[in-house]
Parts: sequence; structure tokens; C-alpha cells
Amino acid sequence: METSLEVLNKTQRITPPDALYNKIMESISDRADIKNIYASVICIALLITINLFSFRSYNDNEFSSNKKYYLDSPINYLVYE
Amino acid sequence: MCKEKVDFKKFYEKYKELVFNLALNYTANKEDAEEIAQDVFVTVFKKLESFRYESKIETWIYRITINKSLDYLRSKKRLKNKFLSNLLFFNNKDGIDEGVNFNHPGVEFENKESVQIIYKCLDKLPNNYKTVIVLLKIEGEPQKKVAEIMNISEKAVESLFFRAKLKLKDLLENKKDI
Repeated sequence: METSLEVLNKTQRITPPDALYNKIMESISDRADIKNIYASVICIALLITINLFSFRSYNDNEFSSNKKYYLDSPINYLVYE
Repeated sequence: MCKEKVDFKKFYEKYKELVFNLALNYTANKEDAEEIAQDVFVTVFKKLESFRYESKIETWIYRITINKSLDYLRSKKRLKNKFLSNLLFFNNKDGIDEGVNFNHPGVEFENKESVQIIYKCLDKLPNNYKTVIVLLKIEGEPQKKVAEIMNISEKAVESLFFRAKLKLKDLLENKKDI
């Protein structure tokens, strides 16, 4: 058994390939790009949501202001009609 | 950003051999070791700023590399089993012939066959048994350092190594029967 494990001791150290550093830097920058993409997607989604809400509240206001207009209108208009 | 790059380059140069060889000693495959090393350095790059220096940086790198290597082997084994079960409609639970795709450039030609058999058996050991054998026997680290990396006492390392050797011996004997 001991002789079997002794074989493992003879394993030599290997220098990693030179291209490995470039690969690492590439994958780091790729991850940064992915982060930017996620951030911009979130920003766009947020903008669309804000726009939808403001558009909806604008419509509501329009409706209520019109309502108010009719309600506030002098009764005479209705008489003449 | 440029300064960070220079620092990371220095950092990489200092630890590249440690990470690559440790991953290679886990996987016994050059391509797999490259992939793991890449993943380790990306993780280190991301987490280096939040490192609290509660342990030595080298110990931290050892731990990341060990975890990444074990995760990699686990996912590779899972993929292989899934593929096999899909292909043959049964699950090869004993895993008699699956395991390492041996391509270890650090093993001498005359020892290649015996080391390959040991690696096949190592692949079937529990993770802590495998780790203690890799660190003590292949990496040649002292018991104290192994205890520090594995976050256990030196006595525990000793008994773990003893049990790992027994299990490996058992597997090697059974392998001969097959």
C-alpha cells in the first residue's frame, strides 16, 4: 500500500499555460459586461414602469378634472341644451 | 483600474502554480485543471477586497481551489450519470468504470498506469478522504498546514489520513478483483 502511495509522491509540478492569464482576464471582463447588461435592463424596466404609472395617473387626472368641469359648470348650460 | 490589473497580475504570478497543480491533482486532467484555475482566480478577483485576513491568504486560496475542484468533479460526475441513465435507461450507481479522464502531465510515463488506477479509486472516496490524501501525499504539505486548510486539528488529520488509506487500500484490492 505504502508503495502505491509513494508513486503519487513522484508527481511533478506543472507550470500552467501562458494563455490562462488572458482567459481569466477575458472572463472577468465578460462578467463585468454581464453586470452592465443586467443594470441597463433593470434601468429600462424601471423607466417603462415609471412611464406607465405616470401615464395612468395623468389619464386619471384628466378624467377627474373633466368630471370636475362638468360638475362645476353652471346649471344654465344644461337648461339651454 | 490599471493598478488593480498590475496587482492582480502579481497575485496571479504568485499563486498560479499552487492553484493549477492543486486542481490538477484533484482532477488528473489538464483541461479540467485549467477550467478550475480560471474559475478560482475569477472568484478571488471578485472577493479579494472583502477578504478579512482572518486566515492566511494562501490558506484561503487552498480552500477556494479545493471547493471548486470538488464542485467541478461532482457536477461532471452528475452529468455523466445523467447521460448514462438517459442512454441506457438505468443508473450506474456503483460507477465501476466512470470517473477520471486521465491526462496528468506531471506523471512519469512508467508510473502512468498505476497512478491512473489510484486516481480511479481516489475518485470514489469521500471528499475529506480525497482531500487529505491529495494534500498530504501528492502536494506533500505538512500535517500542520493540512489541519489549517481543512480547519480541523492535527490529530483529526492523522486519523482521517489513516481511515482514508484503509479505504483506498480496500478499493485498490477490489479493483484488482474486477
